[in-house]
Amino acid sequence: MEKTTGLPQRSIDISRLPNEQIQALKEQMAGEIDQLSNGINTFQQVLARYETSIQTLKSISDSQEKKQILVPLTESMYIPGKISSPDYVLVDIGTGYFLQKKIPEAVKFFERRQVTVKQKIQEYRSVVAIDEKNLQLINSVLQQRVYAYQQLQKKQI
Amino acid sequence: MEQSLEEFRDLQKKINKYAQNQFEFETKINETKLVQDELKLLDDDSKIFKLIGPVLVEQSLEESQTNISKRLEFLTKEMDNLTNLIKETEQKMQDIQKKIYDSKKK
Repeated sequence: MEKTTGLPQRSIDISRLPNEQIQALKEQMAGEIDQLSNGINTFQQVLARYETSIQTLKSISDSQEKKQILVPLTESMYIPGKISSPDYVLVDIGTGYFLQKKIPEAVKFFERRQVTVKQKIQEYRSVVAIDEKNLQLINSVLQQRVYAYQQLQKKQI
Repeated sequence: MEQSLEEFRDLQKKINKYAQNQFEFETKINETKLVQDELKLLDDDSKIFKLIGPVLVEQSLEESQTNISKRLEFLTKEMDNLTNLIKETEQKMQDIQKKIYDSKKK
């Protein structure tokens, strides 16, 4: 994410910004945090899916014979079947592309993907951390202003 | 003054939308890059299928690679467009900010 650039200069200016803009900035920050957190959630689901795939591949390759399986026809109805070519699987690599891979290769593929996704999660987390710090800063400025305003009103009474 | 503020808010909304789009494009670009990297690792005799509608169609490595680079090129162009749009909008926002600031001084 490139959005982190320019933040230091923003935080210097922040106490001089009018309320309107601080509020807008606050919303922007909160939105960004939301978006990134959603991203992290999705990544974690993807990670789990890859893990399931790896486990499934391992369980297929464990047995040498043609294993009998139940093929789901609907969510509650199955038909018995046999895997005719247990050596190859088709792997979805994204944007509609599928690769025919040998099982060990497929496992390697998923493991590679897991590493990539884990890196992404780390990246997002560090941006979220920065954003949260900024949000705190914004909130404290807003609080100070509310406090100052209240003090002012007390004096007037 | 009121009008400028209204305008400013509109621009802010626009920027948020652009950023959202940028985010989506970035996801797509990442996905495409992953596919590209994966294709690089392949031997010539690997079988590649492309999902077209509900059908898996076999595609040559060469063809897949051209398609993917084209897609990446297109996505990067769109991304650049968005970056420029954001810059323009930010400039407009700064102008309005200055206008408001100046009118307050008077």
